This record gives sequence, C-alpha cells and structure tokens, in this order.
Amino acid sequence: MKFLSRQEELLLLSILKLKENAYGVTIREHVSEVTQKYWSIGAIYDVLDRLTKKGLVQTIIGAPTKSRGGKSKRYYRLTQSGFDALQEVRDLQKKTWADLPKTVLEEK
Amino acid sequence: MAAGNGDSDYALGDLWETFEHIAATEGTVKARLWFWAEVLRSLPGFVRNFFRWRTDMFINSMKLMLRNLRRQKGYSLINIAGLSLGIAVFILIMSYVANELSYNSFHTRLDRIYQIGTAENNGTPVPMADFLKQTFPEIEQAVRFRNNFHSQLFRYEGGFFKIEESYFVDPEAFDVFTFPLIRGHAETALKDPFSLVLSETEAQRIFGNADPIGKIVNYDNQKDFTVTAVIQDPPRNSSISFGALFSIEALDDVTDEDVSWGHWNCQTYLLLTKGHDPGAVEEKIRLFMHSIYTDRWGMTEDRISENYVFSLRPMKDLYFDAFRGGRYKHGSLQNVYIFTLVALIVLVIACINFVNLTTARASVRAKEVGVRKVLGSRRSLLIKQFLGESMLLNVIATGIACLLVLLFRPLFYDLIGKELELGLFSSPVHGLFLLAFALGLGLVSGFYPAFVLTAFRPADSLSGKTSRGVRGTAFRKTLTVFQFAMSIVLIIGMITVMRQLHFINDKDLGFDKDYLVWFEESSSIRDKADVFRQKLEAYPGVEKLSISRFTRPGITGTWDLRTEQTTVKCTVFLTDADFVETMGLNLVEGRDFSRTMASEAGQALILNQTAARAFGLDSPIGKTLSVGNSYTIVGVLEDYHFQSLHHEIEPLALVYDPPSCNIANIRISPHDIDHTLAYIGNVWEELSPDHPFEYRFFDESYDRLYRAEENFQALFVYFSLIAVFVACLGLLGLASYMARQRTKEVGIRKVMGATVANIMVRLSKDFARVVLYANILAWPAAWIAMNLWLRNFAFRITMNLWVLLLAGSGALLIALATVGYQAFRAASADPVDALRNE
Repeated sequence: MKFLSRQEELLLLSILKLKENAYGVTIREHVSEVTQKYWSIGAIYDVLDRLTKKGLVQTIIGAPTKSRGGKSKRYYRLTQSGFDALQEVRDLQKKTWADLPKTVLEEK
Repeated sequence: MAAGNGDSDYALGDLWETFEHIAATEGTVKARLWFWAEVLRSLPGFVRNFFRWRTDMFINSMKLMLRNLRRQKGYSLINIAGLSLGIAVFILIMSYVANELSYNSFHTRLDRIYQIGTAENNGTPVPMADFLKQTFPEIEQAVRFRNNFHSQLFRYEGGFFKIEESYFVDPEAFDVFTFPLIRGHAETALKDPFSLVLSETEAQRIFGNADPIGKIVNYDNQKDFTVTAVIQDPPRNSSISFGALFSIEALDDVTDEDVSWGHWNCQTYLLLTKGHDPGAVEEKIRLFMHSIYTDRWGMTEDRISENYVFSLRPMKDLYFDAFRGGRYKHGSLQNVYIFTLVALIVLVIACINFVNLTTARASVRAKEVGVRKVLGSRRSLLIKQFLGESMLLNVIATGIACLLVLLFRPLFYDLIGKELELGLFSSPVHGLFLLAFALGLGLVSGFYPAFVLTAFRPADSLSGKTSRGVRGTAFRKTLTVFQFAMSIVLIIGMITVMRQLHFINDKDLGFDKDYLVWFEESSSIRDKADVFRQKLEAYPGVEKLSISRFTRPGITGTWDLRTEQTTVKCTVFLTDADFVETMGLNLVEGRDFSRTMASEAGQALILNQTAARAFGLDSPIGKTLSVGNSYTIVGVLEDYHFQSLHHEIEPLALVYDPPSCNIANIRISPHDIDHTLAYIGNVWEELSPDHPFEYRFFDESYDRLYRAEENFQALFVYFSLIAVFVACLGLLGLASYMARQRTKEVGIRKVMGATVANIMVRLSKDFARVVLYANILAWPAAWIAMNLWLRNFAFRITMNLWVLLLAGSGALLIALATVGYQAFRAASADPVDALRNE
C-alpha cells in the first residue's frame, strides 16, 4: 500500500488529538503550533481533501455560526482506515529507527 | 476561496472565523492583509482546479459530440460539407477582395502621392511636371511616367527579348514610389539619358545569373542602353507594372514624338509635402495652368473647355478609377462590393443550414439534455456546452475549408485571371484570424440552436413528449425561405450576367471583327512600306490591307477638333485610303480617302455620324475642321462600335495620314488561314529579319476588353451554383429529417389507402410553399439589383419577367428534386416497418 505523506500524517495526528473539536481553524492552529511554520488555509484543505478522498477521515457538518459569516463548520474524524494508516506509519517508523545507533544522529 | 472542490463553503467559514480572530487580537488592518495573502496563496490551486474541471468537461463534451456526429453520419456530413463549402467560398472571395483593396498600398508615401489629370484623361503635357515642381513649394517632387507604346523589342548578344510593359520615367521616380532596388543606386539609376532599369525577372531572363550592371542592351535596333540598376518586380497589387524603365531623357531620341506642351502623353505624379492640402494645391495648379493657356498659348476663355481643367487624384484611389487608371491595371469597386455580398450570402446560407439541421435534430438530443438537467446541470452550462460544440464543429469545417481553398486556389486564380499577392496562409496572423473567424461563426450559428436545445423541460423530454421537435418549425421555415430567396436572387443574377455578355458578343458592331489580323510594323517594314504592301496584296489569302495608327483596340487617342462655332473632342484614327474598306465600314455621305490625290495627305478627314451631329453640321462635306492644321471633311461614316460596348458611340475622326501609320490591319480570307499567316510571316522575315513577327487577331484583342466581365461572369456563375448547392444540401437534410419524423404518419396513411403519389405530394407541399414564398421575396430584390448592374453598359439587355420565372421555377424544380427522393423513400416504405415499433 501507499504510505502516508508527512503532511497527511501531521494532519491525521492533529485531528486525532483535537478529538471532537477538529475543524479547519483548529487544525490549522494546531499544525502551525507544532511545526512552527505558517500554514495557509488552502494548504490545510488541500491535504484534508486528499485525506477525505482516500477515506482516511470522515466529515460531519456542524451548524452555521455567526462568527463564520453564516457558514457551517466541517468537523473531521478519523475513520478506521485512518487509524490503521497511522498505526502503520508508526510501526514503520519503529522498525526503521530501531537498529540505528543513537550516536549517529547526535554526532551531526 | 477555492482551495477545495465544491466544499469551499467550509473553507470560507474558516477564513471568516480566522479573520475575525486576527481582527480582534491584532487589528483589522493586519487581518485584511492576512486575508489577501491567503487569497493569493490559494490562487495556484484555484487555477489548477479550474483547468482540470474545464478540460474534464471539455473532453466529455467532445466525446459526446463526436459520438453524436458518428451516430448521425448523414446529418453530420451535410452539416460539415455545407459549412466547409460556405467557408471556403468566403475565404476565397474575401482574399480576392482583400487583394483588390490592397492595390498600391505598398508605397510608403502613398497618402502624399497624387496623379494629375483632367476629368476623363490621365494624360498631361510633357513639360508640366517641371513647371509645377519649380513653381509650388507644396510639391516636393513631380515625376512623369510615359507609357512606352513604341516597341517592346530588346536585343542582347544576338538574342531578342520582348518586354511587354515599360515606361519612360523621371530619375526621381524612386523618391516618390516604393520600388526597391536590388542592384545599383536609386539616385543615379536614371540620370543618364541612355540608362535602363530592369525588373528582377527581366534581368534574370536576359542575363541569366550574370551581373547585369553596366551591360549594354540594344533597344528596337536603334539605340544602346546601359543597365544601371535592377529593381524588385513591382508587386502584383501595383497599378503600375513594368519590366523596364527608361530615363525620360531618351524619349526624344527613341520615339519621333513631340515633347512639347501640345502633347499630353505623360502621366504626372506629385508628391506633396507633409501636411499638404490637396484641395488648395489643386486650385493653385488650375490657376497656374489657366494662365499658361491664355498667356503662353493665347487661348481665349471660351475655348478652355473642361478638358483643360486639371484635378488631383489620390494614388490610393487610382486602382478603382477606370478613367484615371488608363492603361494601368484597374479594378471595379462595384465588383468588390458584389463579391463581398455573394461571399456573405454563401456564408449565411451555410450558417442557416447549420442552424436548421441542428435545431431539427433537437429531439434527438432532448434526452441527453433531460438527463443532464436531472443530474443538476444548469441551463447556462448546457448553453455553453452547445455553443462549444458549435464552435468546435465550425473549427473543423474551417480546417476542411482551408484544405479546399488550397486545393482549388489555382482554379480560382484561373477564374479571376490573376494570382493574388496576399498569401492566405503566409503568416500566423492569418491563422489566428481564421481561428477567431471559426469561433465567431460557431458562436453566431450556434446561438439559436443552443437556446432551443436547452429549453426542454426534463420531465417532458424524458417522457418523450417533445420528440416531435415542434419548437422552431416556423423559425426554420422562415430561415429556409430566406435561404432560397438569396439563392434565387443569385440564379437571376447569373442568368442576367450571362445574357448581357452573350448580348455583347453577338451585337452587330457595325464592322467585321472576324478574320482580321493586326500587328505593329517594325521600322524596317515601315521603310519598305510599298514593297510590303505589294507582296501582301499579291497573295490570294490576303483580301485587303490597311495601315493605320492609334487603332489598337482599347487604346485610343483624342483630339479637340474645332469649327468656328464649336469644339468637339474626337477619337482620332490615323489611316490610309484602305481603312474603311478593310474594316468593313460604310460611308453614308461623301467619299473615301483617295490614294491618288496628292493634296489629301494630312488634310482630309472622315467623321462618323455622331461626330457630324456633335459639330451641328447639316452638310458636313467640304467643311473644314482645325486642330493646329486644317482638315477638310470628305466623308461621313456610318456609326460603328470602335470601342467596347461599355461606351456609347463617341465622335470619331479618321484622319488621312499614311506616313504616320504603323499598325497593319489585314483582312484575310477565312480559308487556309494558316498558310496566309505563314506567308505574311515570310514576307516580314524577308523585309525585317531583325524583328520577330508577331500578330494578333482583332476579335481576340477586342474581346479582351471584356475580360473583366468574363472573369466576373465566371466567378458569379460558379459561386452562385455553390450557393444553390449548399442551400440544397440543407434542404436535403431537412427533408430527410422530416421524412423520418413522419414515418408513422406515412405508415398510417398508407394503411388507410393513400397512394405513393398522394403521400409524396403531401410531403413535398411544405417545401414547395417555402420556395414560392422565397420567390416573392427574391424577385423585386433581383430586379432592382440587376437593373443597377446593367447600367454599367451603354448597350444592354432589358430585364425580362421570364428570367424571374425561369429562376423561380428552376429553384422549385431543384428543391422538389431534392425533397422528392426523400419523400419517395418515405412513401414507398413498407408501412409494416413504420408501425411495428411502438
């Protein structure tokens, strides 16, 4: 199977951590905070759309609120395959990092 | 915000929320800046998506369109064939029109160049140019062009070369006109009296690849000329075309012509200074010339007729001015208009086909439209889709049209009698223009069908209610009426043009133009005129021989002949005593010239009836006329058409002046023409071995005066036929569509006992009615238009009702023949097949 990209992994983890409150704004804040980089809304949605298309996340439409100019929020939640994909990445990482001597990285 | 596809709402919400947040914490200015930064960041994605969806939909539409085309091969063929033909005709004609309008446009100083001339003449006195240039500061340059009627013969190293067109010109000609030099220098090229400038083609022909500069060429066995420069061939869209230019200084030496004020043989061109006012200059020239007439020539006021009033004619109008054009190439602006109209008509007919066939097939596509609508497509999107299809189809048709144009271009050039300077595919700009044209045409012709096709309500179309395609039937019929009206106008035009030309060819001209050979005598023949005459007259094939001057068909000269009371501008032929008899003319009064009366030379003349009337002479015989010299009228000639039939019969004077004559007119017997010509050739060879013998038949030369009309006729006839053909293609499509629509009706009628004939009448009736209406529209239009056209001819046919009837019934027959086959097929089908499927 195809592995997740780093961005996809980042976003999936964010959604996972934000639990019930994962929607565009919060995800973007969270990701920007973790990575210490600027993420545009477009960049976030680009990845979110890809995740949705792959069936790794599912969306729930919220009620429209005034602070959003009358637009509703779209909440994201991981699907089972989303969980599986994350699991897989973690396993892979464990394996690939496992037999690496600690000193190799520290010397750099 | 367009980051997502179709879910932009949520992203927009996010944008809004974050905006508010930033506005609250860091101020609105920052929030605004952030907002626009976000928008900019999202642009690449937006554009990418836009195109991805566009291409997806476009490919989808294309697929559907091609499927539709393939499924209905007949319609598609008719549709595309009609369109391609129409477009091809349009492209061809418009390239011709563009070429006509482009004449002389290559001169860089075009807007400042003017030709001087009088109302009906572009000849000006030889010394005029110099006087004007010296007198008026507004005139930057004045140059003369003197057509070389003298001889076309050049000799180089023993080889003869004929250069058809050449001019004697002033050295400054290159300052006025844009004829770029390839070799030599413009300033010095024509300075020396015996210098010669050759066109690239002629230089190549005479010298091959050798360097022509400085080579000596003999002209007419008289003088040697030195080649000083080679110029690019004048473009095909130049009024003035030539193979060689002489220095005008040589005019005196080469020809025996007078170069004084009395000879109006030069065309004079002025280059006005920038910011000129041609009207003011013209006025000054008139005053100046007036003072010359009165002071220098001692003319009294009453004798200065309109023939002495000069005017300026812009060079850019020269091509469309028949009088001023003189011997130059000239075209007819009227023909340009007519052909533009024909091109548009053909195009419109093709477009109407397209509209009719597309809307007629609407029911076939109603289901597709229904499904698309049910699936959520908006009408605007569907309209775009159909417009897109129409544009694509037009682009395809234009592509095919371009191939047709390439294929038929040589034939077209044959028809119009010349090649076009403008290459159709010579530059990418033309390609872009064609593409834009195709897209525009697609838009125009696809507009109505797109609205009709998308108007179906899905519930109806899916349940098959609109399958009869009732919508637009009236509109389609109206369009077909127009289509046929235009076709009928063209057919009437075609018949009229053909009748008029036939009339011209058959009209009794008052003289016998058949079996008449003419040629120009060489100088050696002229020296041995008596021997030449004796030898020719001794041969039985030669019936009569006359030597004359100024009698070339199409090129004549005029004199102002005066009595005490009146001045009449007469065309003048210098002749010997045999001219009247050789040409087969009739004298109504007086006598012919007499060879035996020594006193007659340079003193006797014969008028035609028109001239006698113009002088107001009741008994003209014995009266004298003067133009410097005095002439006695010895005879009156019955009027004959010495000019083409564009002209009324004008005053003509035959002046007895055998020593000046240089054109031999030989009436030969109709038997054994070849031997007679060979004999004449041998005599020539014997007397004038240094000149090649070339002759022409008078009727051919005379008919050449109608070449413009013949080209016009050919173009008109062919393109009218194509227009009618395209209209019939459309009719065929409509008829076959109709036949299919009414299959069930026909089936039921047959079951009920209708005969094949009954049904055919029924099916054809509608179309017959369409053609009848078209006739009602077409007749008055054609009547008016053709009467206008006929006014070009002084001698013309009158419009007849039977032409209208013929054209109308012809159109009806063609239409019925087109429809009839379809009707017959529908009517003779087995009703079982028609009614089986429900």
